[in-house]
Amino acid sequence: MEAYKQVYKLGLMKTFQYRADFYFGLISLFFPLFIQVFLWKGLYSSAASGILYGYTFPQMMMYACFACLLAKILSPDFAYEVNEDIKNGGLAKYVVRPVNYRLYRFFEFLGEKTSLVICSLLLLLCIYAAGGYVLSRSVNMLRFVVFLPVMCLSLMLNFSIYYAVSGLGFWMRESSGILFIISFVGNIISGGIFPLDIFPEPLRVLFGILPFSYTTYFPVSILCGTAHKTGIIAGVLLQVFWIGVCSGAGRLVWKAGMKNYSAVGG
Amino acid sequence: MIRVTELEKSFVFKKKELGLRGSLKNFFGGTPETKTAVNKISFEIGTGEIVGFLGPNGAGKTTTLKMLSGIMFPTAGTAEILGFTPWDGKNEFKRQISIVLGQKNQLWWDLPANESLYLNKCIYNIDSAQYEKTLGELTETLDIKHLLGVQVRNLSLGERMKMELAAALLHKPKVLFLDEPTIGLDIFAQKNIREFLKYYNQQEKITMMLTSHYLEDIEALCGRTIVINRGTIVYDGAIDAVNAGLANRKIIKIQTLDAVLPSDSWVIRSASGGTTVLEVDKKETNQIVSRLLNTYDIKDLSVEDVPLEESLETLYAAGKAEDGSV
Repeated sequence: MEAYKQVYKLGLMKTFQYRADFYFGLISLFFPLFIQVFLWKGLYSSAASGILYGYTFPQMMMYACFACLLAKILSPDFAYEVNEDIKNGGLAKYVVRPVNYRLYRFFEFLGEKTSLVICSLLLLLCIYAAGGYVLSRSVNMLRFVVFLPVMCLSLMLNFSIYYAVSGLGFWMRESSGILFIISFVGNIISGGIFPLDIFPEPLRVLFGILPFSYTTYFPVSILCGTAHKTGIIAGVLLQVFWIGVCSGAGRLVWKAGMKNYSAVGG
Repeated sequence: MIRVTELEKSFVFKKKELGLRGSLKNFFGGTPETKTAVNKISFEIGTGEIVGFLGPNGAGKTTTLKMLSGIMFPTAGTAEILGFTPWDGKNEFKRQISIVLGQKNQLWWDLPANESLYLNKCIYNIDSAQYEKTLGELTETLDIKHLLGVQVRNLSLGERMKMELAAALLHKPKVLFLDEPTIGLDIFAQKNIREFLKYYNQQEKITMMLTSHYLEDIEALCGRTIVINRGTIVYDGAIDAVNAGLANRKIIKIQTLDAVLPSDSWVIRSASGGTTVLEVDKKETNQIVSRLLNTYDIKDLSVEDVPLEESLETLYAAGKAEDGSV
């Protein structure tokens, strides 16, 4: 365990090396949000009731802000590094050492996310508090407290999903294309851009079955106040269920992949 | 210590025809072909030996090292190292071996090297006192103690390779595999690394197997050399015996005032600017030298072995001939 603690520490230290990149990463979040403001403003101006898909304009903006920050926290950048490791034979340096690659990558992922999580949580808290003021309702801190462990589960779930997907590199040689598609589509169907409520019923049901919505849509709906007690309990159970399924699938993919693995060179 | 029997590795790849049409064909399918990178090789290596693994690009050197270090599964054959089958991936095995890949680094690029070294301490469960002692010894011998706090990306290639070696040896492995450890280094750095490896081998009685393109590495370090070409072993023995066994010839270089030497019981390799290079039968060397001295007006004369590179070329060519290809 000592080894993974050190990996976590190194992952965290790495982020301090590129401070400018870190801040630009945070700033870049606001560009798509700006676009959303104008887009939704246009749509709401033609809605007589002032409500679209069950959300008022300020509620929709709150959703967009929360989802955008959470999607940034969850972004599976590590999957591209894993893909590189498989493609260029970098995996060799882990295979020869008595270390578990999945845990190594997981703790590095956590380390690299720590500063981002702290900054994003502060931002989230500000938006959450300000949102209460804008929507003129009392700020329910209990929801924010519940959100925290749910977000941790989201991190684990997203890691499990993309670790399994990155294992496709064993057969495809170059899987950054499919990784891009899955993370792009994944972001939409996880509710990372707008709430899943805007989709027609059959799609909504489908997305509700898939694991993606439990990474973003579910935790954000806790903050937005659209998820209620039973829904939250069911959501957490489904998160745990999907973490189990995706980790299991990942293990199978990797076991088969490692057998098939041939580091480049000769 | 290391026993390899009939080890074989084949790769399946898609052959691409020339040009855009070939690329398109390849995109939509292509014909799979099998390439045998390592073809039924067998050898044994004893404790404390340093064995050089020599061969042209694509001969199967790295593939063999990768199989022996457990990175790659073989297609057929067996290997036993310290009583383990490398590709079983047992942690007890991994704790006793190490591999340095000259073209890949295990150190964290953005962080000071001591952080990566400490990570290896944790990974290999090295006790703190032992770690401090080994780290002190290694960094002192390699002269990198003052560089421990420098970010890896700011180290020179030679310094980085020394750090890689320190990282690979921290857990005191019994077997060390080195794949091109001196690649890209200047001659001083190459010499440093070589001297260190030799010293370390004598001190720790560690078994080493290394591949290199630099003959100096092999000549300076390896008591024994395995020459591999097209996946098969074409020579296994002492490096200086490569010459003895293969080309029983000597080279005589003479500077003479006589512009042209006639053909005799020698072969004229080259003649220019008054210098003539002759190739002679080793047994007749003395006799030919005295005859030359008596017959011609000679300013300078030297007798040399056939360069090792040439012997190796002959070996590689022999490998090709056996293979049946041109």
